Amino acid sequence: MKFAFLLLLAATATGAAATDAPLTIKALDAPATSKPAASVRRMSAPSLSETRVTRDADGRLRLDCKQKANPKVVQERADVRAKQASQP
Amino acid sequence: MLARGALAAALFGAAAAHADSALQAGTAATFTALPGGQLVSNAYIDVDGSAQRLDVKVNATGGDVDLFLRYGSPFPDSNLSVDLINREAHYHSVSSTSNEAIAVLPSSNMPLRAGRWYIDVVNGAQNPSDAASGTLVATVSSTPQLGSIQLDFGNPVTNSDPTQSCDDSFWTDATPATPIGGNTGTTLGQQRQFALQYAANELVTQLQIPIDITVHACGAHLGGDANSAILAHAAPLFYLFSDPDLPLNPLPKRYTWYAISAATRLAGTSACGLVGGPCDGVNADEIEATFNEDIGTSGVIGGEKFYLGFDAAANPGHQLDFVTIAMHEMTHGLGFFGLVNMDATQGPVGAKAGLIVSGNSATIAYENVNLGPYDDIYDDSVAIVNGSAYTQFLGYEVNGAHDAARAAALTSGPVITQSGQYNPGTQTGLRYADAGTATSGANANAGLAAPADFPSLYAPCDQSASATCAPQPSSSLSHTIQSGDMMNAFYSGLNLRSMGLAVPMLGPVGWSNATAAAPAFAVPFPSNWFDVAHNGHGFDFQVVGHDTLGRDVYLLTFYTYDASGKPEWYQATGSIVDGMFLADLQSNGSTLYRLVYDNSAQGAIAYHADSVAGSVVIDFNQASQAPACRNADRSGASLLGVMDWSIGTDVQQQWCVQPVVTLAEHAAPDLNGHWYSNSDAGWGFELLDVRDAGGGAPTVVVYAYYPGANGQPTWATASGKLANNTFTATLQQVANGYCRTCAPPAQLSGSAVGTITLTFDTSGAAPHGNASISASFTGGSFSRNNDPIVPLSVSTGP
Repeated sequence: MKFAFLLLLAATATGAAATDAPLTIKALDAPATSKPAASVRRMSAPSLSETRVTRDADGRLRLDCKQKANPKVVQERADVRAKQASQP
Repeated sequence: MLARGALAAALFGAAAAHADSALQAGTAATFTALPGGQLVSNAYIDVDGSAQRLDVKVNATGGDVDLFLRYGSPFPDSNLSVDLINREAHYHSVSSTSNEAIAVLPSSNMPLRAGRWYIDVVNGAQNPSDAASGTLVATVSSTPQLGSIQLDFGNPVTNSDPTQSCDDSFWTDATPATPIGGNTGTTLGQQRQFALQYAANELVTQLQIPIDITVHACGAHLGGDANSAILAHAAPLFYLFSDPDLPLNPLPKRYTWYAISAATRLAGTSACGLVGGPCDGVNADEIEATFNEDIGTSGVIGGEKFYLGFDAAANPGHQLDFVTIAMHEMTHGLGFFGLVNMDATQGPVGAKAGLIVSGNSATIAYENVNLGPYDDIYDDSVAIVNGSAYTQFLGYEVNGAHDAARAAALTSGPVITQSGQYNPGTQTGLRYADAGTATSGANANAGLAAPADFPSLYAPCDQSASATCAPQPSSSLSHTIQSGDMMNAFYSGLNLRSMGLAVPMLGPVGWSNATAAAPAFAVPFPSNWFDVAHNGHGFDFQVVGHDTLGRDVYLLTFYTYDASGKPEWYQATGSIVDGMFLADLQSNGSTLYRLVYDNSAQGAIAYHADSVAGSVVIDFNQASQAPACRNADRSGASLLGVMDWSIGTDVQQQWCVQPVVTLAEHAAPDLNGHWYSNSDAGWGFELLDVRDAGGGAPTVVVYAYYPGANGQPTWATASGKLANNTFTATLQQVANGYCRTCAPPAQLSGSAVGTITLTFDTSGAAPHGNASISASFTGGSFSRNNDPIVPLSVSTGP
């Protein structure tokens, strides 16, 4: 609601290069500080898929995909647990 | 509250005509010295119905240029902030470079279709002198185009644990090699590169991947012995989700984990374009795939080597087929991965993944999370099958209620004993319930009646370690059981080149090329809205006008309590855009603000906004998927929204709101709405006027706001029956109010602070009335006698 506030509307239409489409230029009314902040809205893959080969008793090779916890995430989680445990 | 005339001027006075700029397809438009903090506003490109692809690119030097794209209606041209532009954008590319690109396809979430596509180009540099110069070009193609999987063989990573390193020498090994099976490489490193690129190209061709993604290709010393060795591992580099604090509108499902590779495909941009940050090094990659450098050495599997040929038929049969392994692993990296926990050492089996956030870092967790837990897009297509019945693996639930059911489904397959016996052909109770997969020619179950046609997922009852039935962590769920399928957990020696079930199964994960339906956005409606988990707080939400695009403009009055529990209220106005309430930016930088009164409550009321910073966004789309809406049973609510608000130091709070009264419950004549005195602005009330199901007098609930002690904004409530268009009741204030981040008391109690009397005249076209109010507070009182009142609210719709 813009009741008592006079919003800065620094809009000016400027011509671009003569051969191009004229582009309309405006100014932001708030500092351009609010880019999407993704750092705490993502996570590393909790697991890695891991293809392993095993030689069976008959000498044949058998592949299977077993997945394991991502070592990087395991370490991160251990750090968090340690931090939580140290807090009163 | 406000003089209606002033409000109308504020709402409509700034409605300057849009100065939009047409682009010609394929013709670059130039901008020169665009200062930091300024933007190219509402350039547009018109697309016809034959278009199969729209590419918008900006290439500039200087500044930090970001690109935003919106279909159908223009971006705002006043009250501009990057946050608002980003929220209205259907697509964005916001890396920290000044080169951005977006591709839109018929299969995108906001599908490419005929009409006008609007473009904003923002120089987000903080310093106005950090100007950007460059070109903006939009290209329309009437034929589909294939993208690529590019391989990042550089960017090595050294780790004290060699299994965690990324060694690029694996790809540059100069050992001479004889061309084999179509692989023309003449060194071992070259053949490895060629084989990996062949595998990547197979994925591109079979999935018809339309954009470019990048795999960080690594070697590492993963060891092994005479009888066993790791061959390779892979994963998406990270997962992300969209919510009101980080709106990623290209993702069809909110509050749902997506693998970054699938997210960038949906977003039509790069990883750095989607989430921001630099685009160099691993920041530009979406998948990491690592191969064991020790394969081929004498102590590992008898020196068995990777077969590096392209031609599966040329493989002697006993060698390790590199292309098959690479395709399998990279397919996991594309998002063929369920995230529900299967490892009891990491948290409850069956639990969904959330985050523990501390400062600027976040760590995955399955319990005690402070963000989440969230669904994931792969598991979103999984079903629990029991005979001819089936339920969603995820579904709507409250507080992880279905963890146990998921855990049971994860072990619904054959038993694995200590000897490792397993019958891979037995169907399981864990199925992939996607229609496109069920009918796919790749599905051996196709043609059976649902749910028997859903392909089974690997879900053994693993009793190899103990008598307790346990899932095999992540081997379960993320593999098929179909014989010969590439994503079978056991794909030994098959020398596969077909992705098999993975092609249809990856469709709902984000890789479908089918034309998408335009998204259906929620349509909120006027009412009092509240969160049952924060009972006693709530907000009046009323339409008070329409913006220049015909969208409803709502006035939001947030009735709440301060840190000491005293009633106070905040306010915002904004438009409904794509099912979201986007509040207007005020000149003090806030979108949610608190009014304080400047003078005696008994005279003409003056007021101003105080300095407490606040913001509010309400997303009414898919709110039932939000963690905020899963902390209590809200299954009876007619519509849910996630109210994301910040006030002072309480930031990014998310409440799940629902209406107190639906439109169908309104009495007739309908007096519901926000009322005020246009000759005595500064106080007013929200009125709920609810019809009596038995035909009796309507029930009225009033939330009145007025100046309180020391000019502080306060509010009180009253309820009773409306008789002969007259309502009289005692005003009550909550005596045990609680702060917005505090736990609610067991029961709210009230104390009488005054009276309110309302009379209404509904005989004419425009209802009106009179109001008398008398309310006391510490050190004073507020009263009005027979003030004329009119509704501030107007009807919804254009």
